[in-house]
Amino acid sequence: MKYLILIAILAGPGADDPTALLEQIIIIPGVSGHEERVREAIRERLPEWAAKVAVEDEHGNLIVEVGEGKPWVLFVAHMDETGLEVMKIADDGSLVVRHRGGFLPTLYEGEIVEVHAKEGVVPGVVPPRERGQGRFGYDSIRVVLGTRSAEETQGLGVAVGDTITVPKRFDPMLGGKKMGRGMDDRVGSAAILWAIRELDPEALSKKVTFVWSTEEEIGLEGAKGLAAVKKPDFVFAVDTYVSSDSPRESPRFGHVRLGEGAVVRAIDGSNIAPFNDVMRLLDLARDRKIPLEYGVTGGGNDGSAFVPGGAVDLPIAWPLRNSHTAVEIIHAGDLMALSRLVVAIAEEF
Amino acid sequence: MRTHTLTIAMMFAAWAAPGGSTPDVDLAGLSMISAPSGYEGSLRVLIRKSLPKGVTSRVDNLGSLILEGGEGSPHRLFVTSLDEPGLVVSRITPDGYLRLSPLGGIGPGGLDLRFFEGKRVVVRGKAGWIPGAVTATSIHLRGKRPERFSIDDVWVDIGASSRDEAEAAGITRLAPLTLTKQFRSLAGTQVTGVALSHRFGSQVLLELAHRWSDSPPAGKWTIAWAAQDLIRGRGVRVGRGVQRLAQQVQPDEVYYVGRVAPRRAPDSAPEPRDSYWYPESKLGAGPVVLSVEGEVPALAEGEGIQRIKGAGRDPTRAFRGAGQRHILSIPVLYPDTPAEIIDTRDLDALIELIFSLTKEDR
Repeated sequence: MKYLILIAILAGPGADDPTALLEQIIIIPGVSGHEERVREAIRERLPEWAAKVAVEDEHGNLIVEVGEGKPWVLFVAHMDETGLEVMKIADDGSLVVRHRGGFLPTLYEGEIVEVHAKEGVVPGVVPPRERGQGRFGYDSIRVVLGTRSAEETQGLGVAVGDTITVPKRFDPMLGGKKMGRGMDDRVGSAAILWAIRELDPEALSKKVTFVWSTEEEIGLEGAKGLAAVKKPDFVFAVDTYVSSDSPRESPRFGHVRLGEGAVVRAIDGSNIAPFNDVMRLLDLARDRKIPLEYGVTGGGNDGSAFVPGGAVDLPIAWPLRNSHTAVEIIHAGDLMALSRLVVAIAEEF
Repeated sequence: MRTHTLTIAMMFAAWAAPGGSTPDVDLAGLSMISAPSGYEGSLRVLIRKSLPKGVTSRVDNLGSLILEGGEGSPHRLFVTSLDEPGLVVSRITPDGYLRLSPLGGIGPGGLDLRFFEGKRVVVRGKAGWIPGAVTATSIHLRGKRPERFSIDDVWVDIGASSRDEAEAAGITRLAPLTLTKQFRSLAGTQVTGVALSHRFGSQVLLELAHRWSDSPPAGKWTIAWAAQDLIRGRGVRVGRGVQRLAQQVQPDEVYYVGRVAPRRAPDSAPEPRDSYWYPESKLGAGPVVLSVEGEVPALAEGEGIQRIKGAGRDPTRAFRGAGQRHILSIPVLYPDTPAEIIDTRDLDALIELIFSLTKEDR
């Protein structure tokens, strides 16, 4: 029993291991535009000094700012994840939904899902395509709950605006790998949360801003709002490096292997990081003995929203397999490397 | 919480039923066990442990579990399937990925492989089942996606980086794999989960074994959970386990308790799933009965029974000499998907129906 208590204490908000933090926050649903519970979980896990200065802006971003001086660096990881949102309760009790963020619609076909209603989770099922129906697209997705009328569905506490995800889980795998839905970007969120707990705010010689942003998956909305008022010199988007380290992907690009460290996302769909700054990061990591890779991949990042305001966007990441699926896979060692890199940048870059 | 409530409700129903004895496992418990064809051992052990005290059972050389009792005639056989759709590891790549081959119940008329892409699975190692993922292509990398997801597209990631690492975890060739099991209670009396259509029969017959342990019917009876029911040879329409059973028992009446197999639609292209249809039945409107040979006496004028004609295969075919052959089932919504839905009222009614078949004997 005493061991169970010890485990419970270690796994609580005080957990001092980025993977333990990740496990705590990844199981919380946070579909784009509905990040409240994730934000509160992160806020609860901030060190005391950071909690005192933490603010939530009008876009729902959670911001911790500390120190003075140049260069001003800003780290941003997004709290939201892809999923569904209830648009209407049909007369037959089923849910008409819209997708939030991009994913393969077939990943939901014939699957059990969870409606995150005000009073708790309500299980549902996404019916498979009808016989003879060729394509299963976003507009094919609806959700049944076992009810036969709108009134019955409302009686379960389900309402328009509720969000829907696949069941949230976090599974350990062989070789230090972990599997879950929403690694993108709870890993980034956990990385900067762990880093902020490691930092001595009094020892910082420059201004450092930590941001947990909203609505990245639906167009970088939270970051865009923040970029209108924050003009850092460097922005480090802490997000996924979509890796082709998987047999069904083309290794032409995105080929960084899991378990070999953090990654500088030098070029992606939204940004080209200055080559010399990429090299500076690699030098810093080498000095600190932090494994760091670099490469070219797809997708956009929150940091790109700050570029029009004059910032240099240097996205840092970890390699991820099966992006935007229920089986996103990471290596715990890469998360640790990423967390240490955030600390190093805050202290020395 | 809802599942727990359902469990209690079903247990209460069983206590209230004649016979008194009740199994200590319910549909939720049975459905969370992975039992692909040829690898039904864990489920068989669980069912065997849950049999009424004092009952003697045997296991045949294919892995079917068999209970026998009574003497004289008629000799009634109630049989269901033990197995469910699954895959088996046929190769481990040097970089630790699993390549697979289908066992039973996969593909046309069964669980389409597209439901595996990007999904959680479990693989049985020497120390138990471990989690894995069927790899998917990322939308960010815009890789080529196959027109139809086939067994050649199935790569399973268990986290291993090498064949040695996989084997050290007890994952070897011939390790079985299924979708990660789920069971959830929906609104009202519906429940959903993986392979429920392959598992409800096990619960029905377990319940029957308990009832008959205190109140046996007249005549001889056999209850069997057939292994490898989803495995059929070329030109053979009956599952291996039932076929083997037919070599061991010669009943007068045969009742197959389980899913109704879909039929191939004559007007469609030979493509998986789309070319199959399931006999229509309505969830919550009672058990489904398909009489192959003879007429179920107690049901001739019965209400609350959904009679259907014709199925994709006749699982009683191995017993063609028997005067009575029937398929007793329940409606299944979204069959052959990871989220099959059934109504527990239909399940309870099926149990009562079967019990009533022999009621007048006692």
